[in-house]
Order: sequence, then structure tokens, then C-alpha cells
Amino acid sequence: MTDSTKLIVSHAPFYRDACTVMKRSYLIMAAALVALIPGWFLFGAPAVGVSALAVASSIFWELTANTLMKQQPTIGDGNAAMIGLILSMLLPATAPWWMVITGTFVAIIMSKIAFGGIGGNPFCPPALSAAVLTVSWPHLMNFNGMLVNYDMAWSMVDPLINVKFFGAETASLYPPLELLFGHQAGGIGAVCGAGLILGGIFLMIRGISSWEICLSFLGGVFVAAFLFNMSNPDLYAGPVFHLLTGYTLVGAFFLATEDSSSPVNLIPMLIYGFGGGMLTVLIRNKGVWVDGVLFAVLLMNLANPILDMIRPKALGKV
Amino acid sequence: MIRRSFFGYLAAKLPYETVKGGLPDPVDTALPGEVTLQIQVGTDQKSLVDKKKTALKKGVEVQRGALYGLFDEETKNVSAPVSGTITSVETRTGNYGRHFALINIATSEEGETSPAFSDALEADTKGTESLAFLSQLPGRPPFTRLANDGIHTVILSALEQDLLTNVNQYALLARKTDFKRGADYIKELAPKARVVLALPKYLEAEAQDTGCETVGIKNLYPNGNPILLAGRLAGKPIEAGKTLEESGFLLFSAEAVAATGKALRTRSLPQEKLVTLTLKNKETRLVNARIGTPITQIFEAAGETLVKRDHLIVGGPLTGVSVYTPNFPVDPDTDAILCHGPENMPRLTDTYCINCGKCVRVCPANIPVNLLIRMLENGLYEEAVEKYDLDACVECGLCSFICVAKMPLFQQIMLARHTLAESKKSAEMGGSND
Ligand code: SF4
Ligand code: SF4
Repeated sequence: MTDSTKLIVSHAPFYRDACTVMKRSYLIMAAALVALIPGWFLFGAPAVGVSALAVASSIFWELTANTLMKQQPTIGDGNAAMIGLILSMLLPATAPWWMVITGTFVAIIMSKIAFGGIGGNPFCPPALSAAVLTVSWPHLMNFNGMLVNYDMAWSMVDPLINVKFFGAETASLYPPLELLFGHQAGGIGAVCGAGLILGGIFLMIRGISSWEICLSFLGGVFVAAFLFNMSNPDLYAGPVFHLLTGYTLVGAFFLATEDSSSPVNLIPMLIYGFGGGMLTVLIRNKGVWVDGVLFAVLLMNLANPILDMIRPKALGKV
Repeated sequence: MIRRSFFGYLAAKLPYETVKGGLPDPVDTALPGEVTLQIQVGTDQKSLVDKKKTALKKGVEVQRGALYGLFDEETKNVSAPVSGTITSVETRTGNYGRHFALINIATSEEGETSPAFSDALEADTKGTESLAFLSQLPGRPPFTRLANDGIHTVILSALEQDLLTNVNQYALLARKTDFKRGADYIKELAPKARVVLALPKYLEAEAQDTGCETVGIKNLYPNGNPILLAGRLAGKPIEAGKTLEESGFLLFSAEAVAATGKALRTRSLPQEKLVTLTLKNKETRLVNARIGTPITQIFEAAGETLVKRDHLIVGGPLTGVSVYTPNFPVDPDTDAILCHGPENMPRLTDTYCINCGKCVRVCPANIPVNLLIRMLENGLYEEAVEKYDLDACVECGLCSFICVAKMPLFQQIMLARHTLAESKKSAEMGGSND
């Protein structure tokens, strides 16, 4: 039966969906850019510098790790660049260079490579890194620090700080439309609500970020903020304010949905997202930190393995 | 061919081929000069073949339409599709270490067909002898198991087993009278069982006159999967880990039913298999080929030559197997054959699962594939069954189709299932000794 024409063999399936890890990373980066570009315009060259340095140093760290561990370089999948870009969304434009490089070191080496690389990280790398930076250099991650450097036509006091320490009526300084267009102090990619929402919708309809997590996260923020606001409107700002300030939108679309640290089954996704949203507002209103998104996401990451055990029964199992 | 929606949150839609554009005209391929018959054998039988201790061996003359036993005269498991002389009997090892005996027959002039089948029908239309003949028909109808008392539902399926083929839909429409005759015969053989014709929704009106209970099903992959089909007909999924037969179901493909009808009508065994060919330029052709015909020859008839480094796939793009030689034969259950050049080779990587969850969304058996694969990669097969439902897999291949990391998920799953089945078998054999 055999003859000399040797054919190639492989295992089924012989059709493969065209989506790859690389494409996924690039699409996420494209969505992130929609929110970042307005930020670059608002904060100017230093902001562009922070983003560029974050991406470059992320790739550098991953390549270094690959070389040291004698592995095939994995930077080609775009994941390192993506982590760098998302991290830069969270940083203030005034972040010094050494902080950016430390940040990407934490994100790539300590929260990804140390856990076995892509798919193994229990925490969302940019969130973990930003949280480490916030705890280590609170004054540098404080967006009021930007006050001295920028003189804008709108209030450059961090809206969350204002509301936390000066009461809910200061929220009226920040009309939602202004917040949507990025007229606030905050992370480079976190200020422009409209860009984030557009990017987020793009990711959700392409099936890259689970819509279940995004929407339930926002739902959680809305419900918790609404309840607080109802209980004491003088002290606690309303839900729309909470949705559009701080890291809420970045958290919902880019951090909470990070693949390896988020659940994949329906009910766990809803609990995870909703829980993250509630925690965010809880920390903002009751905790010592100004913004709760990072800690809320990390806490839910911690719960992820347990949450994901809630899953539908497999076919034909009793 | 694959229509992938821009809206990625929707699962990819993988429609089966249809015959909506009108019935194709099957191309007949010429009588091959040599045919090869494949029979799956156990390890012990393999060594018999290797030591040339078979009843069918080099030099034995066979007659078209007669039944032979490979190892002895008693268990007849080979029906000769041509008259001729056996040139060699060899073995090959397929995926997951399955062994096959290959019987090569050099065709002589198309002579008289053996009267054995019509004699058997004469003696008893429903006798064991007749059923043994009918089991060799294209589509491999499981006639010998119909007598099993536990069978409560017989599914006649005009749905396809994989994409890129429409042989069953074609057989149902183009051979309707034979199909009806075959279906009636099956009903007579299994008077207590429910006989249901499962077919794509759009064909429901056409199948009114077959006299069968019909169930229309969306013509989307993997709805034609036997286990899913049985679950749908029964109204509840069949128990994980059980075979169709153990759960009381048998499945006959529409082509097999039509072939049965024709066999009863003409009193001789049809030995032409309908196959959908997909050429390198993605065109499809329906061909009618003698069982055992080398695939090269079929492609030649369709104007395609296979060259080194091509990829030849038997059985369909999602669940088929790729073969290493263009001389691979057409089996009685080969519905689709496709070939493509090396540029269309699916890319596989050895990156890790990134836990994107797409496989979990797409799996019809609700298996946590993302966790399962972590077990399988480390060879923890028992744990994979206990905690991550490996036994519920219906072997559709969709998880592997969709996987973002392009991991060989399906290969790992199939390998694990075969390894477990083998060790179960050897444990049972060991158990019967004491
Ligand atoms: S092959 Fe994959 S998608 Fe299909 S049933 Fe098995 S695990 Fe699920
Ligand atoms: S589709 Fe692939 S990468 Fe995504 S969770 Fe499933 S196995 Fe992992």
C-alpha cells in the first residue's frame, strides 16, 4: 500500500480558528490605545514617554528572563507588550523612569514569569504591579502630585481624593461629560471614559474580554455606589461618579478580565465581576485607600480558583 | 468555508454541507487495479498477521461479494469488493497504537459476483448469515447487534458525522425508495425498538413519505454526533462514559440504510461508497468509489495529483485522521476525504493554556477543558476522569478548533481516552484469569 509520496500527518482537527494569542494581545492593545491616545494628548510628551518606556521595559524583562532560563523567546506573542501598555494606563504621566521600570519588573518577572509564564499567573500582572507601586511610593502614585505640573482649564484635583476627604458635594465639580472626555486627574489611560468605553465594547463584542465580567463589574460598582449614596448622600458620591472616575473602567475592561486570573464559567464570572465592583466602592468609601479597583481585582483574583469550581454538570453526569 | 462572525462572543458557526443547491451527480471512479481492505485487530491478532498465520493469505483467490474470515472460516469479517488474488497481507499501526490488518487484492476481470449473498437471503432474509453480509455494506450498518435485547432506539441519521460532506443527505434524497425499503427492513428486525429518522430540519418535508418518525435537527456541527443525537432523542443526555449501544441506541447512517434497501432489491451487495472529495482549491466533488480503492486514484479521477508534503485527511476536518500515503484505501465508513497543500497545515504550538475560556464556552459536553488539559499534559489521566469529566467528552474536536493557544487539546484528549480504555481492557483480562 505504501509508496514513495510521503505526506504530512498531524492530529485532528485540521481546521483551526484563526484567533491566536498574538492576535488577541494586539487587539487588546488596540483597544487600550483608544483610551491612551486621548490621555497622551491631555498630558503631553511625558505621558507618551511613560507608555513607551513601560512597553519597552516589559519586553526587555521578558526577553531577559527567557534568555536566563534558556527558553525560546516568548515576546512574540505580544503578551509582555500588552502588560506594559496596560500598566502604563494606570500610571500618572509624572511617573519617574525608575518607577516605570520597577513596575514592569514586578508585572513581568514577579507576577507572570515567577508563576510559570503566560496562563499561570494567579493575579492580573498590571494590577498587582500598580498595587505594589501604590503601596511603595504612595506620593508618586498620587494623582494630586500632577497638580504642580499641569495647569489645565478644569479641576486637576483627583476627583476621588476630593470626594473622599471633602464630601460628596465636591463631586459636582466633575460633571460626567467632562469625565468622559478625560478632563480629570488620573492614570494616563484611565481618564478618558469615552475611549475606555469604546475600547471595552470592542473587546466585548470580539469575545476577547468576557462581557459577563465587564458588565457585572460595572453593575457591582453601580449597585454599591447607589446604596451608599442612598444611605448618606452628603458623604458618598453617586454611582455615575464612581463609574467614571479612578480606575473603574480600566478595571472592568482590562484588569478584571485578564485571562488567567479570571473565571471562565458563567456563574463564577458574574460573582467575580459583581464582587469586584462592590469591593471597589467599599474600599473607596470605607477603606484607607483612595481607589479600590486594584485591591478589589486582586482580592477577586484570589477567590478565582474557588469560584471557578461552580460549574455546570458535564453531559450525562449525575 | 468557516464562517466566523465578527462578534466573537457568539460561538463559531460550523454548518454542515447541504444538498440545497440541488443533488450533485456522483462521479464514478474506474475499477481499481488493486484494492486494500482494512480490519482493526488486537495486539495478539497483529502478531498472527505478522507471522503470516492468517486464513486469507498471499495467493488466495477471492470472489466479489463473498464473505471471508481473516483468521478462520468461522468468523467472517471480510467481504471482497472485487474478484481477484490476494497479493499480500500486512499490518499497520494507526493513531493511539491501534493495529490494522491490510489485505491487498489484485483485481482480475470484473467477473461473476458470488451468489453467496442471494443464497443467504433465499435461506432466511433475516438470518444471521444475511445480517453478516449486510454488515459489510457502505456505512458499516451495525446489523449484527440489532438482535441485542437492550436496544430500545434505532437512529437512522441523515445528519453528517463531520463537515465537508453531504453523503447522507444525498443518500436520503436520491435513493429514497431504497431508503424506505431499508428502513422497513430494520423496523421488522427490531419490532420493539423505536426507529427514528434524524435529519436536518430543511429536509423534513422531503422525508414525509419514508414512513418513519422524523426529528428535524439544526444542520450545525456537532449536532450529528451520535452521542448528542441519542441524548436529544431520549430527552436526556446519555450517561457519561457509556457507549451508544450500552445505553440502548444503535445508529445507522442514511447511506447504509439506502444501501440495505438496494441490497434487498437487487439481491447483491452494493460495494460502492459515496465520498465527498475536497480538492486543494476547496472545490467539492461527490464520487462513487469501490470500497478499497486507493485514494490517489479517486483524486486522479477528479483531476488532482497528490505530491510530497501534501496533507491528506480521511473522515472530515474536525474528527478525521490524516494518512501518510496517497494509496490509503476508501473504507466502508469514509464519508469525506480532503487534501490540502503544506501551506494550509494547521499551526500547533507548545505554549500553555492562557485560560481564555473559549473551549469551555464551545464544549457541548460542559467539560472544563482549561483545567482538564492541565491534568492531561501531566499524564494525570485518572484524575482527569474523576474531577474534570474526561469521560463525558463526545469527541467532537471543537475545543481544539477554537483554542487560542493552538494547543493539541483534541490529541491529548483522545490519547488519554484510548490509554484509559486500553488499561481497562487489560485489567479486565487480568481479572478473568483468577
Ligand atoms: S472534544 Fe473538546 S469540545 Fe468536544 S466534547 Fe470533548 S472536550 Fe468538549
Ligand atoms: S481555548 Fe485553549 S487557551 Fe483558551 S482556555 Fe481553552 S485550552 Fe486554554
